[in-house]
Amino acid sequence: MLTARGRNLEITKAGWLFIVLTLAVGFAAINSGANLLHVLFGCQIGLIIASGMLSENMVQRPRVHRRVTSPLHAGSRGALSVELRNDSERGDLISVSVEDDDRIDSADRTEPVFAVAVPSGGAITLHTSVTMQQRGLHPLPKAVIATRFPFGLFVKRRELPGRERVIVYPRIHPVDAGYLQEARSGQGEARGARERAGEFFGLAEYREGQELRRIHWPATARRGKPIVQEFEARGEAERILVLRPGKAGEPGFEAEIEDVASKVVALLREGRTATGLRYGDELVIEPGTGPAHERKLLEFLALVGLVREPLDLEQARAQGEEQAA
Amino acid sequence: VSWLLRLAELLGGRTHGLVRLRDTLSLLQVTMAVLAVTLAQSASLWAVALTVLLGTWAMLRPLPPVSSKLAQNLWTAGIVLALVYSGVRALMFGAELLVAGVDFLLLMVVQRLFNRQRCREHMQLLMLGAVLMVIAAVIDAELHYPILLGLYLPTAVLALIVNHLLGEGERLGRRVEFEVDRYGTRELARLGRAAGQVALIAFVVGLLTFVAFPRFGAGVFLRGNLYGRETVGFSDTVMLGGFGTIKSDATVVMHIEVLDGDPQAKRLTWHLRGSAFDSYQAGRWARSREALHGRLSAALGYWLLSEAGELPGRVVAAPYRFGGRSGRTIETRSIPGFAADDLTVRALVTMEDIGTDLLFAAGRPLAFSLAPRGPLEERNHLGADVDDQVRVLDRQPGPLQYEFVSRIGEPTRTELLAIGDPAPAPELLPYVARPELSPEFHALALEITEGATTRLAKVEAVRRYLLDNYSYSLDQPLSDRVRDGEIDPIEGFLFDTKAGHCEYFATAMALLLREVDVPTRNVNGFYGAHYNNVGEFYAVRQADAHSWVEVYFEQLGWVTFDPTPPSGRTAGDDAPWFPQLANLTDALRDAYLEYVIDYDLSNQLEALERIGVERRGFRLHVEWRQFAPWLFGSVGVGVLVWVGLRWRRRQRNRVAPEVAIYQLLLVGMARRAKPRHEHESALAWAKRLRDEGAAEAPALTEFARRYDALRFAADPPSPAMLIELRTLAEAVLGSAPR
Repeated sequence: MLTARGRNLEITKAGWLFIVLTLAVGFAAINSGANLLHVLFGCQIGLIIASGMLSENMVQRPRVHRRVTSPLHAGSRGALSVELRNDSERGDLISVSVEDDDRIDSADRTEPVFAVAVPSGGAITLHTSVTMQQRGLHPLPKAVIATRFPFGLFVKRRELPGRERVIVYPRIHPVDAGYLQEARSGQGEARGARERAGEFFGLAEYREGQELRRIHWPATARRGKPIVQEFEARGEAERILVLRPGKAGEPGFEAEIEDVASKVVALLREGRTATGLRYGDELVIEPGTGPAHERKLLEFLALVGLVREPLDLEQARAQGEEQAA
Repeated sequence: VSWLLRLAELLGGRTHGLVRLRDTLSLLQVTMAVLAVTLAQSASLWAVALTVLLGTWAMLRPLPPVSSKLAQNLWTAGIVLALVYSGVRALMFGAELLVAGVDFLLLMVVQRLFNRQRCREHMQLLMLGAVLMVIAAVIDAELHYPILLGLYLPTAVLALIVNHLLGEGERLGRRVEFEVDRYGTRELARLGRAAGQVALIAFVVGLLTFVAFPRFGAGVFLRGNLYGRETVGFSDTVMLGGFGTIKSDATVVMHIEVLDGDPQAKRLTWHLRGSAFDSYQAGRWARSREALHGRLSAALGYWLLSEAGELPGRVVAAPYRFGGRSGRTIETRSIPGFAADDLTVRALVTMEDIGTDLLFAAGRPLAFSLAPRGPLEERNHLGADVDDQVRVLDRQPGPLQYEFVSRIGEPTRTELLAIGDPAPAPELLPYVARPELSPEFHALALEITEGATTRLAKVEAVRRYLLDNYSYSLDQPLSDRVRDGEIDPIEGFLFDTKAGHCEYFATAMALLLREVDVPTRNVNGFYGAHYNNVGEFYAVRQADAHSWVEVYFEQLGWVTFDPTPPSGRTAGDDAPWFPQLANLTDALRDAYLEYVIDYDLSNQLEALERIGVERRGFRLHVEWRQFAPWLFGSVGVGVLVWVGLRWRRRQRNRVAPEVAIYQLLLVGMARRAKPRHEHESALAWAKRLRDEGAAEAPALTEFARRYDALRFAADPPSPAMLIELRTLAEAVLGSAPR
């Protein structure tokens, strides 16, 4: 693999064959002085040059923006949308893929996406999944734009500048049904509110299975994609989960975080128990229900115990808002 | 591209969409490659026929989604068998290794056509096509190769692109496969354009490599066909009647460029002598051991052919390949009693490979100079054979280029009469040797030459007799007595059929003269040449093949006499069909051979010198006064092309004038923090601003109405309308302070 100026070039099996054939023709041409062989040799070199020019166009033209579109828990797959925008006025973007940089050894993986064509000035959004191994605020796996266009003889890759940071929620596992039963019948006031009866919380992108009546049509028209309203719904019961203070990386602490996160998700997705969180002696999050509240809890659990810089916190907040949107 | 799709429907087998197109393209490129090797005569005809047959079957049969294990094993066994067979053919039965190899590749093509399910097989088909094209390039020096290459290149490039797209589908699953098919079918024109551009880049780089890459060929591979065309009449023995078969063949075999003067004639009337024979027996001319042997001496780039044991003259200038058109290069020796002994001609001949190592020259050849085949190649050795025949000693396949200097002056009648009728010298006895013919033949000779007292008189009598009493015919009628073996074919001509072509006339004259002790020999070659006004050279065709007689006149040497009636000597001056087109084709072919096939290091250095770059030892010296115009000219052309392309792109991307005005307004309003939202039309934007109470709203509403009317009208707006729209835009921007 050849690497230079943020590009790397890999030669496919067919490419090696083509190169061997070209060298053989070149040798025969030089050896014999036969003019037609010189023409053929030049044509083959020309094909390699043209292949290089076209593949460079293909990796240079696109602007890529990756965004996590579903809650991303450590160790499980989260939805990732990849927007490929072709700002060039000079032609289509053909046969490009966005995939992980193989040279970086990481357990975090993104499934590659492939675009057959993006017209000049157009954009395309492709959906794939990402798997991250550690909770916290992490950059997405290092990605490259890759193409085998036009002949499949070479694979050219361009490193994508910058890496979007995402909040990775703690790993979760199934929670015992008995626990949920117990939580529902536990302490706390029962409000009996329906999901839409709560206070308006915000807008979010429509997800499969949500009620159509929750679609916010003006926002949908503005954004060009379905947007739904979210409400602060209250649960029937209340539960305060407790997390003992610790440091990130300590096995016991991490296991407890995973346990609490699993309970948070189980309780809030069931929707009938208002859930809060106590960290040591401090009630860090008041009981509440709904997706926004779930995100608030999971964000806390994602970052708790980590040594963070102020910038990271701001980015995490912005990222959380973006994910919410 | 619609024709391509229609072709795909026809040839693409039972598949559909982009897959069908890929099948068609693979088939097309491999067809062109097979055609190229076939035309280059580097494949056996049976192998080509088998390939066509099986290939057609492969395309017509329903292609199974996956090859069965049994089929794969059978094919593997078949390939191994074919490999063994090819080896045995080449090593044990003496078949050409290359032909055996190409035949094997053809089988591989068939195998891939039968198993072309995945992109890997198509890639292999493309590689096979490329290898066959390379082989054809080594072998073929004909004009059809660049035509085929010109067609092959874009086809193969498009096939590569389509195959790559389908390969991505194969790699990434059915969803991508579906998208690839949809995109490829919808955007075929775009893909076709991309293929065209890539092919153009490849062609330009190929051209640059051809022009600029230094030629240091050591000549391991050979230029030209492996197998020259065999032409009758120039082998060691010649049967009477052979020329009749080629007298209607208009194929050009020789190009002649006269070097020391322009004859300005539409047709040359030279006798271009090649082979000569002294011994006749039973309808067959051959050479005897006693025939006169010639001698060649090297001088200043020429091989001089001795005349009567002496050098034919003195070399005063180098031949064409060293000295160019320097006029006269040989001062001929003086021959007593021969006034026109210094009338010579110098010509450059490009001769096709017609299966002989003989060199042809007009009149009486004095000197030859053979051009080597490459810059490092020195294979230009000639050898003298009997009867003033000159041969290339290490003849390689492919065309030859050589220069000859010949004496075309002929002795006058008086000079010939002055020779009298001397008895033949002992060394001339083979030329008066009489074959075993009937007494009637001898009697006829005596009857014809009765009263002739000089050698010339005898020659003239026989010639006149033949011209007066026999007719020219290409039908080669054989009398019953000849068929029954009772008499010799030449007697059949003289006594029974009384019709024949040049070989019969020449043989009859030579043998009749021998009956009266006149030394003669039979000569085969070509008569005359046709001027090609397009290529400005003389072309000699197969149909110009001719036979005549040389008679020995003591110190004057051998003199040419042609007993064939004039109507039979000349082939038609032009090709039988579309003569001007034939001239153009000949000229193109000649130019192709000269400027493409024979382009070499010396041409490259010459071209460099013309633009001011000169080689001095191992260094290059640049003469800037000469080089600068070329440099600036090239840069200028490059800039012009760049400007042209930029202008074209701008023209293509030019926005309509009303849209340009609207865009200016958008920029102006954005600066005032009243931008249009992405989803808004002009009118919706104006309405929103009106609702917000913006001062620009009324003017903007007016502008929006006018803009919509102009933008979506059937006709383009007039200048007055545009001025009005611009005024409205300015009114919007001026309706409120910034």
